[in-house]
Amino acid sequence: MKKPRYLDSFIKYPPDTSFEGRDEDERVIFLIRQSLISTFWWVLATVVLLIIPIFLIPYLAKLQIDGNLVFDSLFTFGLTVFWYVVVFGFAFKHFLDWYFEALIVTNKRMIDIDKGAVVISEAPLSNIQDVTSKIPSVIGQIFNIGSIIIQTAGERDYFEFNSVDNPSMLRDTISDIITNRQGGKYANI
Amino acid sequence: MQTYSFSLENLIGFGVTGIKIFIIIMMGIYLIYALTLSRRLKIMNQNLETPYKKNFIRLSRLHIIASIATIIITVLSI
Repeated sequence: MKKPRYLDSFIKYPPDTSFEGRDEDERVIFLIRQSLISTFWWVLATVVLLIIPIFLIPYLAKLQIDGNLVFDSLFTFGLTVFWYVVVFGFAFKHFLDWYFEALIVTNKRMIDIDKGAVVISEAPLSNIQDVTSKIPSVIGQIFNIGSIIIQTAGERDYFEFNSVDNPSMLRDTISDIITNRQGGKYANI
Repeated sequence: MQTYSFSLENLIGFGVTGIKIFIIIMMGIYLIYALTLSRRLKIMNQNLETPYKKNFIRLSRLHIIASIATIIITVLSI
C-alpha cells in the first residue's frame, strides 16, 4: 500500500488523523485540502521577504552621519533576526491556515474546517443531497483546480470547498461514498 | 539656571533613539502576535489532530523564544 504523504491535498484513509468529537466507531475516509498551487502567492512573498535583508541590512549597517555609524552592529543584528522571525511567522501562519483548512469525510459525516479552525461545519452523510464540481477560472482549467459544492438537507444549505485538485474526481469519490453509505458499505468501517 | 542646546547632532541622536524605541515597541506587538498564533495552533490541533502536531507546537515555541530574543538583543543595543 502506498504510504500517504501528509502534505498532499487529497489523502485516503489518513493514518493518525483525528478530530474533536470523533466517535469510537468513526473512521476518517478522506482528508481534503486546498491544492498546493493555491499556496503559491505566499510562498513567493516569503522568498521575496527572505531576499530583502541581503540588500537592505548592509546599507543600514554602513549608514553614517558625520562619520559615525547610525546603528551599531548589535542593533543591526537584532533587526536582522527580527526580520527573519517575522518572515517565519508570516509563512508559518499561512502554512497553518492551509494545513488546517480541510474537508474531512468519515464513514458517518462530512466536516468542513474553515479559516484556521475558527469556523467548523458538519453534516451527516445521510443529509447530503447533491455534489457538484466546477472549474470556473482559466487558471483552474490549466491546473485542474476547482470547487466542490455539496448540498445538504440540514440547516446549512451547502458546503463549498474551493481550490481543490481534480474536483471532478473528488465529486465522483464523495458521491460513491454517499451511495455506498446508503448501501451500508462504509457503515462498519 | 541650566540651559539646553539643540544641535543637529542631538536631534539626530534623539531621532535614532526614537527609531530604536519604535522598533522595540513593534517587537513587543509582534511577541503578542506570536503568543496568539501559539494559542490558535492549540485550537487547530484540537480540532484536527495530525501526526505533525508536536512539530507544530515545537515550531510555535521556537517562534516565541526567537521573538523574545530579538527584543533582548535590541534592548541591549540601546
